[in-house]
Amino acid sequence: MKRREFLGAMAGAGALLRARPGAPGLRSAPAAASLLVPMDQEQTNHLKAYGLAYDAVKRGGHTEWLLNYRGGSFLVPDDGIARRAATLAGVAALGVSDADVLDIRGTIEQGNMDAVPLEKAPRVAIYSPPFAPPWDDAVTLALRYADIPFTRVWDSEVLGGRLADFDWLHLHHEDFTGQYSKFYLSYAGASWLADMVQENQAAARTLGFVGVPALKKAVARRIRAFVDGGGFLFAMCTATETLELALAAHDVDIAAEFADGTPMDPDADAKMDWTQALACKDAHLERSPAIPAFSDIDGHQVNNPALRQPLGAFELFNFSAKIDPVPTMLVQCHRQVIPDFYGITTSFTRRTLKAADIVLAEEPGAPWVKYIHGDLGRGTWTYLGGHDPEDPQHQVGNPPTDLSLHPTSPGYRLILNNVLFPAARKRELKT
Amino acid sequence: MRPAARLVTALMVLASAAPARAAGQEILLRAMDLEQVGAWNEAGTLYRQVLSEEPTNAAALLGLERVFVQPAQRDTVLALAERAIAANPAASTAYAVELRTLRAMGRDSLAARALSRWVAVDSASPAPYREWARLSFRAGRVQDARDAVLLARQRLRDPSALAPELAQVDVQQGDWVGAAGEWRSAVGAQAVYVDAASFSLRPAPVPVHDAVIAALTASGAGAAAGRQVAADLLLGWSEPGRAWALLKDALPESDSLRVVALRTFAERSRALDGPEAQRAAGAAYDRLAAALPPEDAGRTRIESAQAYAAAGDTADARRVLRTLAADTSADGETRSAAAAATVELQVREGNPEEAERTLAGALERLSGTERERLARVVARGWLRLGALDRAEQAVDGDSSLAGDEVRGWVAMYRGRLADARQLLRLAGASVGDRALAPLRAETVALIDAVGRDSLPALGAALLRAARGDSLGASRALVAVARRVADSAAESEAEPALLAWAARCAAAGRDSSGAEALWLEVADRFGASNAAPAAELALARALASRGDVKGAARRLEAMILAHPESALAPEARRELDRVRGLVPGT
Repeated sequence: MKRREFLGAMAGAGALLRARPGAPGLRSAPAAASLLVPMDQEQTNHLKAYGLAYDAVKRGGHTEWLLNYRGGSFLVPDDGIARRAATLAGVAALGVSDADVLDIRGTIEQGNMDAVPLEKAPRVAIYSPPFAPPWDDAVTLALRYADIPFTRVWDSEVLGGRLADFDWLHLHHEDFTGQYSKFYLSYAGASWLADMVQENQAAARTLGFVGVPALKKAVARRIRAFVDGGGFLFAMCTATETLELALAAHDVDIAAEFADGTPMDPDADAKMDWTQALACKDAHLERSPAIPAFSDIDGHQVNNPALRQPLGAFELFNFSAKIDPVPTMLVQCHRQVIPDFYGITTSFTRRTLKAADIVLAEEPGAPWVKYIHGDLGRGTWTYLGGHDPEDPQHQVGNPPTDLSLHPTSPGYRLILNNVLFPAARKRELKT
Repeated sequence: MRPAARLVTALMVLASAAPARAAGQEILLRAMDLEQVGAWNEAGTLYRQVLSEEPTNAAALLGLERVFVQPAQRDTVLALAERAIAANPAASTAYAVELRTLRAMGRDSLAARALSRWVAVDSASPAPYREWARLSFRAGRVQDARDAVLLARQRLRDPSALAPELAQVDVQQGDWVGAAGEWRSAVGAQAVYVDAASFSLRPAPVPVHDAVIAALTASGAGAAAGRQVAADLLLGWSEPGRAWALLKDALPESDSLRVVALRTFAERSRALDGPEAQRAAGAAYDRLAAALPPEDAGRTRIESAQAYAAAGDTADARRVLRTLAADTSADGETRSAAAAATVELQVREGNPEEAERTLAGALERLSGTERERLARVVARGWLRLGALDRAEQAVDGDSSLAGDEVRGWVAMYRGRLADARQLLRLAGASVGDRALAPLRAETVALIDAVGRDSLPALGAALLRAARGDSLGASRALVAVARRVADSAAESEAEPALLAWAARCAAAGRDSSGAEALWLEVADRFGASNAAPAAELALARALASRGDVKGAARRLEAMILAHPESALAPEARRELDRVRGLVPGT
């Protein structure tokens, strides 16, 4: 499903309700009409609830996302399979009758809420190298924990047109400037870095590019085309900032000499074509190859001691569920304020955002925002700064986060919102 | 600024400024006070006032550098640093301030020139290179830091110059063995780096541990300090035996440092699990006692004996206690503690008879509470031998709840279940031997499941387990289970007894026997209270031998049948693990 099809007529369908308070489902009560999966503080495993909803959509049952209703609950058919899955996963679910559902619809109709049908389980691809880098990838961890299937793709698949097979693409820690995240400054001699360089250079040679920066620019353009054609892109950490730089630098050498044999173009800043970027404009490149940062898009500059900013907390915006269902879906969460977490790109400075960008979360009063979204052509992109919501200072070599210890993580919920929202049926926006 | 830092700085001021004007000193001290309370602007004004009179006053210059942290104000510090250099071209502090300021402002080319000027006036000193290396390192420019160190070594013709700085660079770049070599060089020259070296190298990955130790224990000047670092690392890496072997021949020469090193090692090793760690702790305490004045050595010898005993090294424990017994200078408290340690050792050796005699001989030296505690230790020794009467006699007159706990076990092993239940419940979780608290709770639950006031066969079976005959206990429990199964009213009894039998079989390393029993509990008694734990144990057994699908099936069955069980969350995590949904599977 490449086109977003957001639900339309359905909102008027009725009256929403207030569900019975109390214990989560998983009970051996006889099957009801539906299972309500609350996503507020009563939920015991928010992350696996997304897997439950995804699976229900995949099986073709009528599944709805009740935006802003009890933390962004799901209504799935009580077909026995869902009930079993909820019990196994420890997901709180509540059997509700048709009358209960009508009651819920009444509640939704009267408040800033909406019910969005989820129609088709998106086909998910994660852009990830074939070698194993010594850091975790929050999206891979989240999808695996929620038991949502995905396929790994890398440069050859992207350039080979495989993105057409997917609805949703995730990027995480990739450096699309082709400078290996400037890791040589701290990790020269590390075997994993040597492997990373070798694999990338081999891919560039195989695919006919003069170097890794050129290869990554081409990949970035294909990713842009994927979005333009109706795909959903979600990126975190370095991938956000470097994808912007790679797109804007399509004819400019922005890679340091160690990456492609030639120094950065001294006039690179002036030559950047920000019309090609998805989210950013007028950013200034970090010119020194000796400073482990890319540009002033990132507000926190975690690896640049002179500019590094401390972590605070970010706050999710409230949107009108009936008018702006997409941003509403992306911010569904049981917590409004979430502790911040570092990544090589942690945040996005307000100055470098395009006017059309939708800010989904910000640190109030700070010159940066955390979570942004926008459209390109028939598709959308969403960027979340930072590396791992439950490991605020994740370091190279740290063990991956065990999400079974964080089943109610609000930060990871934001990631999973992105996975599920492409399943929503489109409706014409009211504004 | 912390008070200690203020004191040091003030002393520096007083020393360097003599004969400084008293008014200038007073202003400087006021500035420091203002800085301490966060009045940065006011402090900065006063520092500048001092510098206007004394452009080379290092304390004022450093103070101004601290308070002018905002980028917009760095220029001011820079101008004052340059003025100080002009007034005294040999003012190394001013050069350092200039260098740091320029680097913080991102003026790298100017910073490089400032470095050159500093090197030119202080050509024999490693200080300029050290400052440059540290600034580069903090900025994440690790290769620059390395280059600075290598340049220093070349120019100063000192192959070990700035070894601590290069060691940190090596660590950052993952060259742990190189870092160990640099730290070996650094601690060989200055033992003050021992702690820093150990802290730096502790995160080294396991595959390079041996190479790191080899580099640290290289011979040459200051070899002992290198071995101290190696010993500290090995202890942190849970190799206490190797650690002690290194440390015992590399102790500091200074008496006070040797005592500190031994005490630190002994306490850390004692806190680790396992006989090797306890043996090393015992040896370290033993050596420490020899290094202490006689009046202070007694308590340390007791620690040594206890550690040796915990390691199962009873011969050494006895040797140490004999030394203590022969020490006529030991005070009464120490001798009482020695007697207590001896009793515990004798019980641990399986000789409660001898322990009872030792206790009888020391009664006058012991407090009433300690006498009762040791009597309970002796009673538990009798319990382990199955001498229930002797155990009961040992706590005769002990009316405490801890004494009731011992009597509870006696009742249990005699099969007087009602009495056992009452006494063990009274002991609860915090009375008596706390390590036995979970076993007490489980035993009470078993008694509840069996639902009888008396069952001597069950007591005998559990006594076999207590005496270490796990397989015999398992067989006996199965027999009891079959017998109680004749009574239809006792539906929880049979599965509870079979589950205990399974645990005993597992403890006796009869994994197939244990699995068969868990399987029976799970399948035949699926609705019983014992079933969830049996399912979970069975799944873990299946997973441990690679039957992931079987384990997943069992876990799913358990969760679906017992979603409200207290074990369900644990089963879900186990299910995630066997299905590979969380890392480390």
